[in-house]
Amino acid sequence: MTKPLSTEQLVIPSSVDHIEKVDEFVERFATALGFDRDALADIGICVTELVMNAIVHAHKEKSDLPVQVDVEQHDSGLRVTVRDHGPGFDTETVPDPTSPENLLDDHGRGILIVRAMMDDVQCTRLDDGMQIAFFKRFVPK
Amino acid sequence: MKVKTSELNGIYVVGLSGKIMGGPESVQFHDAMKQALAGNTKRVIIDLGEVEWMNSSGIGLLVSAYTTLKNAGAEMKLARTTDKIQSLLVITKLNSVFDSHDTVESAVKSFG
Repeated sequence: MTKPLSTEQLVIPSSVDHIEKVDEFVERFATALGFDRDALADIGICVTELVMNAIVHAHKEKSDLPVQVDVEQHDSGLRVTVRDHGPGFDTETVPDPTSPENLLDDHGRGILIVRAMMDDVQCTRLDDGMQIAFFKRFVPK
Repeated sequence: MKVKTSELNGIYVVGLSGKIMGGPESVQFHDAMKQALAGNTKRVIIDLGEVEWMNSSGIGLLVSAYTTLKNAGAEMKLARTTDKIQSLLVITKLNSVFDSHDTVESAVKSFG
């Protein structure tokens, strides 16, 4: 990926009390890039999805563990990266939340939703955590 | 997210609004469900018409409510499901689980 035209970063403690702050941060950045209401909703859904996953599942709500959100403006769209310090997981082997035995689970749909809504998703397991990035392309007017 | 409860023809209606993203306000939804169960309600409608969007935490709230109510012998239906939420239900295949209606009135009628 080429060098971004602009970047911003937000770091929050692992508490669900901060989830709205993440949405506001990314929505402000994406709005300035010209995304429409529908795309802003998709971006909001996906970034809060990944941050909630980091807070609740990766960090078990231990507030001293930070969650980092990076937003990047590119020629062709917006890239958002969420970084946690949890044990990480293999995104290819998570149980299929749409299979009949998992359909009524109250969790486990996050990655499925992000992959369905975004143009590109990259999951990277790091030595000390997990990094998931998604890309939303500008729609030509 | 904001949660408003009301009663219509003996049916417990839970109206949700705003963005549902799994923040601390999720407790209000759980409280509304507890209230429904405490009142021995057998028919519940979740009105989603004023919801801007929801992520999988919001979907999880709906699934959890559906399961809890079903186990208590109650029935839950969705009303005024927006296009955005409907697309999420299709992605997650929960459109095969939830009974969704365009209006609260048609959800009420569907209980028979």
